[in-house]
Amino acid sequence: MGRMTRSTALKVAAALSVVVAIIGIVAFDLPNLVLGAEESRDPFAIVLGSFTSDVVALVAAYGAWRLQKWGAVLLIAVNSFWIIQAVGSLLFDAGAGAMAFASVMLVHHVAVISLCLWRERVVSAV
Amino acid sequence: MRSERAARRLYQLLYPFLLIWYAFVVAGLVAVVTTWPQRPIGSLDEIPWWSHAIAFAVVAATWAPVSAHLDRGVHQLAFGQRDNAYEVAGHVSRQLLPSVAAALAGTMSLPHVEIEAGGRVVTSYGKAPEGAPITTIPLVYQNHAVGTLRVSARRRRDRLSATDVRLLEDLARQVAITLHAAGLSAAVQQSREQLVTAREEERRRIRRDLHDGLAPTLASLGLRLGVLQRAIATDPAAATEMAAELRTDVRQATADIRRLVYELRPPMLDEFGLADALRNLRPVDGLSRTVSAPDPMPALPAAVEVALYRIAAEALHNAARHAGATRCTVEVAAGAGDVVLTVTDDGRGLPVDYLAGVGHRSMRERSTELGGTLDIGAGPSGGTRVVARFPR
Repeated sequence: MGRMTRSTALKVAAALSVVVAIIGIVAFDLPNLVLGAEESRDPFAIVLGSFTSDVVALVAAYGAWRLQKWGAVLLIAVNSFWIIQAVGSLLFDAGAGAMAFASVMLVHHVAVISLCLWRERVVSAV
Repeated sequence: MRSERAARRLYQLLYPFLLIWYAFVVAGLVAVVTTWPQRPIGSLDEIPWWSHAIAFAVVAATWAPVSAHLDRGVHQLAFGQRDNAYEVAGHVSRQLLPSVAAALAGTMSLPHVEIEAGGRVVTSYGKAPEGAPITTIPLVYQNHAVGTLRVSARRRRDRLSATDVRLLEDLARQVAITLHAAGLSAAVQQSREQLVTAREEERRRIRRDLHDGLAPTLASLGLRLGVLQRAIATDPAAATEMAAELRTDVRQATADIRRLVYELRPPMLDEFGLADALRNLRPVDGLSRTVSAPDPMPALPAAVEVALYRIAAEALHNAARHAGATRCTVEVAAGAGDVVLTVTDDGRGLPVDYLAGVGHRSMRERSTELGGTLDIGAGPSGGTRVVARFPR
């Protein structure tokens, strides 16, 4: 595949996931959690699921940054879940902003999974 | 063993999961496109059935490349790079010497360790304190000096103790093995590159010969055959003359093809075998030749046969042209593990200030590239003796 090393690919994937997880926590999870189950703008189960996935993504990103196999696997799992969310958002959400955000997220999640499955090649010996 | 099992299980779980997930994602994205005019939709029931049919077709069409890509990616994630053993070996050997230098420096608290081989610094760790004495320890592997280990003392004007040096000498043996292994790895890599280069050069030569020589000749023949066809009815005399010219050209083209085939592999080797091919080598002016070979000749690798044939031809050519020899003996002897070609002539022998020319270098290259050796020296009763030895 490309020239990027596997460790670089995993670190990029980890960094991307951290950015998205923090955006998710700050922009979506925390405001809804603060409002509580009764007054949450979105179904609270979804809020809880999203918050859990964001936390798991942060843990996974830590593992991936340390080049741990479990970190990469967990990042794949979380981003697979997020892709389903993004596709659902593309199908069910109204508004250009939501569409654009979901599209960007879709590309992000596919990129992260690809980076986690990055196939490193050592071109020359010694 | 446990990690092997865990890796296998991870592969077995993750690969099908990603394949199924891929199918779902494609179905979702196709649904987004097909329901675009009605979006946002209220429920999944609003997705038309043909959207799933399109998704199925897309998944089917992309299945082979996507599954192969996922397979490779998941395999590497689960098992590391063990499916690319040669690449891993190269990577390990590249990392090995710096790691060894760092380990030496770390375990013995040395500020500077340097490993040198072939007159160049292979790896270096740390920086020697100013004024600190440097101790040099030769790296020897199987009685061959493979490099030098240089370490600096820990402080200025403070030499390493005798115990330190003894320990370093013991460790130097391990470093020498590592250095030797790294050298072998580099040699293998270089050899692979040479093989690829040689193959490409050969292809280029054949292409050039076909393109510049044979192709225009055949094209010209085709055109002139057309002219001949028209001339037969109108001008039979000119047609006859042209047919004669064409015959000459066809002979030339045939000779070109023969030359090309000969350069690929001497046809005589296939027609007569090595011993008779050596006997039938193109006669060299004024040189009588005696060929002795085992009968029957044991089966030899094709490349060794060609090398023996070419070396013998070059040696005979040199004997006649440079040594002024009148008689030459060509002897092939096959042992249990090797085959030896000896060409001895009665010529002037090698001059004292002899320098290897293109022919000798070519013979040496032919022998070394097949793991053989070549000795060129004086014959037992004067003249020159060329001995090529190849493993069987």
